[in-house]
Amino acid sequence: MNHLRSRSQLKNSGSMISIRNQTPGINNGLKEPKKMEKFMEHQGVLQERLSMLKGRQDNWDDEGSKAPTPSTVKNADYTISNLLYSVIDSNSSWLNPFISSDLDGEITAVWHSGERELHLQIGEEEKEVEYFKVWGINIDTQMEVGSLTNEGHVSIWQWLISGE
Amino acid sequence: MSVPVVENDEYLYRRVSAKSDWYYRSGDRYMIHQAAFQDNTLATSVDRAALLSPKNDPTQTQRNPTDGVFCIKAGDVRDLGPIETITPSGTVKHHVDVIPDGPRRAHAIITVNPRFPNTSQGKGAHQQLRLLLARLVNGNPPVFILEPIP
Repeated sequence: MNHLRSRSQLKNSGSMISIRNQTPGINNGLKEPKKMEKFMEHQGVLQERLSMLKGRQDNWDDEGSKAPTPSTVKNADYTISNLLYSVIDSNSSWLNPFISSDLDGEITAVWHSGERELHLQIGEEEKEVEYFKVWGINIDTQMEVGSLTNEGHVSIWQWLISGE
Repeated sequence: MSVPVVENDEYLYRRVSAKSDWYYRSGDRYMIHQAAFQDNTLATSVDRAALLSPKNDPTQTQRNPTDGVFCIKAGDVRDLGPIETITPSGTVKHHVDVIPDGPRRAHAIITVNPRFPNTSQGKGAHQQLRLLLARLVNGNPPVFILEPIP
């Protein structure tokens, strides 16, 4: 199954993201009403949080943190919505992440499942999404770092939730 | 007055602003976010609990009365790593350390030796360290010795 989907498809599914890089004719999984309902439910939570981040100004935390740029917020929307889409489409259970912005104005999302943590670091550029899998404090044997791709969504999610 | 080296059995305090994203709730407990260790200098400021006045008083680490304060042990920090970066001349191992950092006597920094380069690779390496530090703190709940007041 092809898990790539366009920004326009996500927009039609409820995401607020802009339409760019359209990729036609892919993934009809969410035509199933129950899946679409789940997607929309979690999208609402995501959009609420991203909207809050979008309203931040520089030094919003009195710690000198930069506000995330509109591009960073859009990229976070696209990235997390795409992951959500893959998760729902693969009949897995979604876990709501903690989404925040850091000192540099980049957006991070973190999920916990048992001893496993998944972190996404999202910058302004679409190519800038890094994932960090963490399952202990040994950097050599209990951490994995890589670039997030649409093709890797299901496997990374299965890794996360199998830690429960 | 000389400042003694930071011993492995010393406790270190770190402040989090109540309005920051440096902490969050997961289920029924607080978690420390890796951003709580972020700093533009790629080092992390901490207070040495034993050198505070009054000794071990976490309110001395607060900037605002609503700030939270959590605690981490110096020896556990040093046991993290080393963290590697790749340079044209080969792999560099950065050993994690806690060192005094004036002018305040109780002030110290969590850093690495040699320091991370101020490059994207150095920032990435520091992020890995921050993830491990957060994991270390979160592994010993409850994480706060003083909870933030949002």
